[in-house]
Order: sequence, then C-alpha cells, then structure tokens
Amino acid sequence: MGQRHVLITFNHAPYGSVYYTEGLRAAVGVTSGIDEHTVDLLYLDDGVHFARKDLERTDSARYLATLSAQGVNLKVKREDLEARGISDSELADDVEVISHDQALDLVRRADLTIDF
Amino acid sequence: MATIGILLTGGPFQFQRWETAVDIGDAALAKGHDVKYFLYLDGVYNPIRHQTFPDLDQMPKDRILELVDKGAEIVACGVCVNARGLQGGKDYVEGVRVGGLPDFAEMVGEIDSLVAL
Repeated sequence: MGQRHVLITFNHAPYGSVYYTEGLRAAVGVTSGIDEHTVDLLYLDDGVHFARKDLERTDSARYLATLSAQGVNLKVKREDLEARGISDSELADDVEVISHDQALDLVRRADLTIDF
Repeated sequence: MATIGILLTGGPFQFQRWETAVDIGDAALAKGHDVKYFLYLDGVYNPIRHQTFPDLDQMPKDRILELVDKGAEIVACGVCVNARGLQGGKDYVEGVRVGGLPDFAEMVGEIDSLVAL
C-alpha cells in the first residue's frame, strides 16, 4: 500500500453519457482513501468542452467543489481547444490551459492514468 | 511478479471491453501475476449468473468465474450495483464481492499498473 498520483482524463463530449460525473466521483473516491492518493484532472479531445464557462454543472458541482477543496486544479489542453475553435474567453475561471508538452508531463508524473 | 489492476466500466452484450479485460487478466494470471478488478458503471452487469445467449459458448459470468477460480480479486462498485437494481449483487457468481470506491482507492495503492476499459 502506498500513496499514488493518478491522472484522470476526460475525453468525451458533454451530454450523452455519465462518464464525466462518474469519473469525478471516482476521483473523489480515489482521493478519499487512507492512502490519500492525489489526482490531476485533464480535459482532452472532445472533453475540452467541459472547460467552457457556460457549461451546466448541476451534476458535477459537488464533486468539483470537493476536489477543489483538496487543491485539485482542472486543466485543459490548448491544442484540443484550438482544434475545436474554443477561445480562452469561453473558458471557466477555474480551468488552467496547458500545452501538449505540459499534458505529456502530467502523464509522465502520474503513477496511473484513467480515462473517462 | 506484478499486480495488475483492471478498471472495467463496460457491460456485456454490446461492447467487447469486458472480453478484453478478461483476456488481459487471464494472460496475466497465466504468467503468475496478481490481478485485481474493479467493476464500475455498466461493468457491474458482467458477473450476473443468469446470463444466457444462444450464440455464445461462454457467457461473461463464466469467464469471470474462471478468473475467480484462478485467483483474481473482483470487486464491484456497490452504488453502481444498486443503481442498476442488482440488489447488492445477490445474483452474482460466487467470488465477486460488492464493495465501493474505497476498495478502488485501496486497489490503486496496491497495483503496479492499471488498465481502464
């Protein structure tokens, strides 16, 4: 047993599946164990739409609040935003834009990666 | 020897993720590794013992039972189980335990690598 650092990526577009909220629930669960695992959350591919400020957060708000209280930041890959024509002005304030190389660094630093 | 974790979110009879998950676990066990599964979301449908389908020789539940017999540890998310009306996994094949995300967190601390399907 030991503490692990887990990268959780969200790759699917909003609406049409429960992967986002259930992935967040898993993130809360992973960080709540006695090992106090840590997580990074990264929006990739069509999942970058979750970074938009106008996206409705009713289902995800409580998980995001719990993770935020634990110091977990939301990150989104710039190149995937650009590919979908999403500008920085459309993004929520609590999301950090990172580059492809920075995203790769997150993968390298993680002990385990889970995609939802 | 390593400990392999497998997070399975796919159910049976629509996608083949369950079969990939079982095949990977089977291969790892054959090489002497430990294998731990966490069944999440529709993945919790895989161990139901009443499965039947005329075109398949082996049901997912049969393969899962084999994995249990070979020493795999299989835990299903209880919230997911009850959300789908599976009543605490009462119809599961023997050896599959219903737990929760704390079990997944524990698994994360024990495994050397994780396959998410």
